[in-house]
Amino acid sequence: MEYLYFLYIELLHKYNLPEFIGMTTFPLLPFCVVAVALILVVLFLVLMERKVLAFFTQRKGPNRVGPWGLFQTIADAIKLLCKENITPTGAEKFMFNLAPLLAFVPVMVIWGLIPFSSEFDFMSYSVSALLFMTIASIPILGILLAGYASNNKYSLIGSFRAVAQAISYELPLVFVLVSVVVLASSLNLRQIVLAQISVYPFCGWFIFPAFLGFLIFFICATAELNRCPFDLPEAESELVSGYNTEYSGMKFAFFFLAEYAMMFIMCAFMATLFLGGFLSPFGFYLSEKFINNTFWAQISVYFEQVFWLFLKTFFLIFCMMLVRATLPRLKSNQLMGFAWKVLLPLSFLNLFFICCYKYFIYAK
Amino acid sequence: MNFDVLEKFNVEIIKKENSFDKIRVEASKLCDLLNFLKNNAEFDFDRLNTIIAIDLIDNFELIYDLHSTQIGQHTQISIIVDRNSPKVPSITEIFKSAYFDECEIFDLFGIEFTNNKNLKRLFMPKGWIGHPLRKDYKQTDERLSWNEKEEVNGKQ
Amino acid sequence: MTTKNKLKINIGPQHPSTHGVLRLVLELEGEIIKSCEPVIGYLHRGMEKMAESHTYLQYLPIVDRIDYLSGFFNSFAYCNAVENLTQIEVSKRSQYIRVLTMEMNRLSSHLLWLGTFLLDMGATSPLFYTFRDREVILSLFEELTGQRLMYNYYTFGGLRHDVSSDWLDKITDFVKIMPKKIQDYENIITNNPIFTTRTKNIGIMSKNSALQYSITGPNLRATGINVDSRKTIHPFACSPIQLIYPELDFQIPTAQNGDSFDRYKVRVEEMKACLKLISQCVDWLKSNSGEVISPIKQPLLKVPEGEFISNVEAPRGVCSCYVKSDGSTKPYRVKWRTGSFYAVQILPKLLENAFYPDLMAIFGSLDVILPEVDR
Repeated sequence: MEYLYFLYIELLHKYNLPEFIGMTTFPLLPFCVVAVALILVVLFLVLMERKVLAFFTQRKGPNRVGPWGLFQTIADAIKLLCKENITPTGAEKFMFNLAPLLAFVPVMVIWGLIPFSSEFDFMSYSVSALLFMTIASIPILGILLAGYASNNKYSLIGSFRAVAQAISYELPLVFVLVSVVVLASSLNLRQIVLAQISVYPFCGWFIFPAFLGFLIFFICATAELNRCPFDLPEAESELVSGYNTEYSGMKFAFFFLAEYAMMFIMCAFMATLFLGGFLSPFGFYLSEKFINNTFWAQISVYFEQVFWLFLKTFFLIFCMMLVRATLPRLKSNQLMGFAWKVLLPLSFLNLFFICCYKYFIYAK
Repeated sequence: MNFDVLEKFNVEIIKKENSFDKIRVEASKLCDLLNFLKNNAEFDFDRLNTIIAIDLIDNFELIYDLHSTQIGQHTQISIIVDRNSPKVPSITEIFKSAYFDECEIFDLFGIEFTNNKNLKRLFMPKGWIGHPLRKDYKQTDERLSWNEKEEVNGKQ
Repeated sequence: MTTKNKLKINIGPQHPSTHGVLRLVLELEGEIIKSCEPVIGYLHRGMEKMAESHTYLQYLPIVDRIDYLSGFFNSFAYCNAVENLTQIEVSKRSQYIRVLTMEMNRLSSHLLWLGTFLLDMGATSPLFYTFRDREVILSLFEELTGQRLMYNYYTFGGLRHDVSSDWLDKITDFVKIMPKKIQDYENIITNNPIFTTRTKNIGIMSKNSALQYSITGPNLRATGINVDSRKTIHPFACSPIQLIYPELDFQIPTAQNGDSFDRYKVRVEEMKACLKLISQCVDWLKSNSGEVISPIKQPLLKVPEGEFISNVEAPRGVCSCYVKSDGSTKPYRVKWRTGSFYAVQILPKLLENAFYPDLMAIFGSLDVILPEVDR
């Protein structure tokens, strides 16, 4: 980090700019990088989702705008930007406009908490795992607000469902997180990743002791993200589009963006907790092997770590898409029953098992 | 099928060339007859296929098409309705499916079904004037007479 | 509970899962449906009034539009009534072709139903798979009649033209691959725990209430009543096509409980039965030849005075066509009886105290199509 800071100051000196500009703007830079990167990732993710679903249903998917339809999402984004921002007459105007921001901004913030490589993480706190869960539950307020402020019955039912669902699925999620924290003996996400290093390649990943926990986490994350088969809040056959029925244009785009960004972040979080995060699955980094220059090897290791994290994340996203293409939607009472009667006891069991494992085997 | 048992309902079996045999009954005895045909083990007509209304210029004819799932037979019961005061007893108590049929006939023919409590227009809008399937029906609603206006314009 | 605690919600007429323009006025208490009132008539085109101002032949193409997913059945019911009134003999070959096309039509209609039913339940993929197979049938129909949905293929006393042996070969190929695909659907749907919990014991229709509400077709057979107008004989409404069906070997699938799952099961089994019928018809058509063009002059056909009701087992229940003729070139009165009209009527009863998401599992399984309701 310091090294980067000096590079930045030197760059400013070249253009005869005072140092305090560098001091004040440097902390903001990561956020800009993060925001741009996140939006790019989401653009790709939307395209990926459409392509993957098309593949599963024997279609071609978007293939008109750019090569293989690569620019389709950009075209969609431009369309959404150009659309008129409609606020329904019966809506609570202030809250109606606030809701998309409330759903979108926290997602932007938690993105920085994920450790992308062993050196760079934009925000590293000793309790970052806890902070992640805390901020990740804010967007639900935006959804509740959207449902309330739209003055539409479909939206209202959709947001009720979303809140009920988020609260019930947060519990098992946190209990599984606790089991991971027990394994790593740390709440810092980078420490959690580093605790997964072992002598043999990928054997130290927490997915092995906590496989049950991983499954629970995957299911709960799917529910938290309101994705199929848990997409009740926006079930189009029942509630037209759920909480975002009344939204159009850029305000809708914010919800859309937040949803997909959250999906990516959740999967990255899952990869960090269970799949060794930025660690290479081979036990060594490819760059270390093939690049002789120590300095450049070190630099490329960082990039490689980002690559591994992204690869694992996209694998998890692919699994989520596979689930979406296969299963029908659950019913709201089944959904609740599943969370409270099945997942919560199982997550307790998982925690108990992990504690025993930690006490008897791992510690020795 | 032996229809002699139906004597007590004053039925008349109408046989016409190129047509099915109809059991003609007075409107007042319709409910009793349907009840009998439904609950009698020999006939067992347990399903009302449909009600057909026909405008015969002088009066209306209603044909109740019954079906027996056990024997697999259809039978048709016909009643004549006076055109000036078209009122018929409702049979929704006997066959619940008749509700939509009766609403439809009320809507399109203007035949009223007494003791059908929730009789309403089924297809046409609520404030529609006239009953479209009557032979003497003329479109009189000014809001909808775009066809005639165009013709007038064409002539001018 | 006072009405204050109830949420009145209007589903439709424009709603993704009402399959057209049905409007349901629901009263919800939480997510439990307390009352439901179907409002229909948004697609009323006056089919019955139209008949009175068209000649018999002019009315024939309109008939296909009553149920656009199974046009052959409506066409057949109308042609059959007119043929019986004018006493035209229909040649055996054209009857076989009629059965063949009708059964293929039933298959395509059920395929579309399967896709949209699962789509209503939130599964997107089955729709594309069923549409893929339906596409094969539709292109076969297009090759035969020049149309994909509104066929206008039957005429009074025969067909527009004969089928080619090439076309029959294509059907043979189709019949060969189709059972495997139906098996695929069953593998992914029938044992899916989410699907079964959402449909089993949901929207139970008892035998008695099904008959009370005049439910017909697969919905009735799912309650355990084995009634199919293809198997039964009607003395008053004897249809010439019923001479053909007894020559064919097929089973009528039934189920016991009358819930949404059984309705699904019956329809899937019916698809298999359709395939059996299709292959039998193709075999007969390949080994026999005959005339299919009608001997009578179609335009300005004068139908002798009389009346007739013809019944046909359409994919959505019994489709009856009543035709009354006064001896002129135009029908005096035509009345249509369709299965969906009565399936909509039973909705309030089935939805009573159901969960709101069950609405899709119940309504979807009834296979209602709105043009058929409103006509």
